[in-house]
Amino acid sequence: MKRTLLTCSSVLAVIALLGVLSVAVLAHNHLEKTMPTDGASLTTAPDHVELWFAEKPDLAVTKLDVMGPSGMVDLGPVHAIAKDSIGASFKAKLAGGKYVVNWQTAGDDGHVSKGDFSFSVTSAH
Amino acid sequence: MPDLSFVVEAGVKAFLYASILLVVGASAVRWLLLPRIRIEAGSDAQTIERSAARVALVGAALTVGLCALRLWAHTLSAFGLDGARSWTSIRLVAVESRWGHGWQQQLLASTVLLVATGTSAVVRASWPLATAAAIYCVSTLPLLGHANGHAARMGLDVLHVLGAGCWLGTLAVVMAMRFSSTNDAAGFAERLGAIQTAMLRRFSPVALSSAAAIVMSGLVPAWIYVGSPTNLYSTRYGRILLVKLGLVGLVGACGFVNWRRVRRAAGRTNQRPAALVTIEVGLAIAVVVVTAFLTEIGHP
Repeated sequence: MKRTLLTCSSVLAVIALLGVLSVAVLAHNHLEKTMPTDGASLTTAPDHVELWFAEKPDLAVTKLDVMGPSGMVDLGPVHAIAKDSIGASFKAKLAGGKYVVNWQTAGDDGHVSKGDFSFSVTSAH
Repeated sequence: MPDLSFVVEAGVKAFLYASILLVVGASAVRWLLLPRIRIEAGSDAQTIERSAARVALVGAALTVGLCALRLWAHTLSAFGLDGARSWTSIRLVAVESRWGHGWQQQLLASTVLLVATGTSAVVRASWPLATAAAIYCVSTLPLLGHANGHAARMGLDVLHVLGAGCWLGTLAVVMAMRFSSTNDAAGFAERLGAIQTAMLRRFSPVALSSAAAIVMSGLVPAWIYVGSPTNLYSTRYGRILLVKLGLVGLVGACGFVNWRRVRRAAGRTNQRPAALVTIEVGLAIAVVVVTAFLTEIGHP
């Protein structure tokens, strides 16, 4: 009787724990959206890039670089824009062409996550 | 082809986990096993205690070294090989990153652990300090993992590691007595096999409770991180988790067979532990390695 009660209590405790702890959990630091959006074709060159993440990015290990038609694009310092976003400004106007933004950051678990996205500028203004 | 930094970081973590489990196991031998066999062991009880203290000291020394190496491995992950050779990058990770704040806690805990176990190897009364330091060290592990920032999940991680230490760590410490015991007690080496068998016989309540704690504290985070049953086979995290669960099952099966054997061996002197116990320890090491890789991967 006692053993059955203990087993049932343990199972109920696990179910309760699952209920309490089952909040949305995302892997490492997940990229949620970007500006410009991935694959965007822009008629006006952006003056900065911005990336939003699921958790507050750790600036100490955050890196951003942008590769354009003429090579590496000159970027200002990477900085926090909002609680969960980071960005950097372009030091010069972007010419027409395809650009690839490579990013790296880490979230609360410290694991470094990396990725990239791209956009195109169809004409420079 | 896996990223080199991923393999390095997971590898360092595996050794770190193993060293911490050894220290927890040594404490479990001192507090949970030794009182159960003190009468049976007689004058060998002191040798057993000294042997456990030596294993704890070795484990603590490894923990400090591996903690330092872990910083280098994480810098490698964040900044590549060039960054990992740069003191500026290493310092940036150690001092300015959020991961580094957790790492500092772990380094402090492992240093305290080393001092405490060093003292307990010489002064018996320091065992409570060494045990407290081991628990402190375990409590810093979730600061550098998926559970960081979530108090309840961090608590479950701590329980999970303590359970693993009390089960698998204790087993490893008992089997390592062949190397950690000195010959100052006359005839101890000849009696070692029988002593180990007696310890393993008394070990089963500890092992069962620890295994229950491991299952309870592991199931909940596993369910949360996997998200859905299909992720178990459709994602890398899920597949590696399945491997871990399979290995844990094998360890449990070995444990069950070994338990039956030592029960049957009760009263028989000079009975050495079966080779299956060594296999159980070997499988436990495999579990630790797989866990280190699992905790490096992003969950679904």
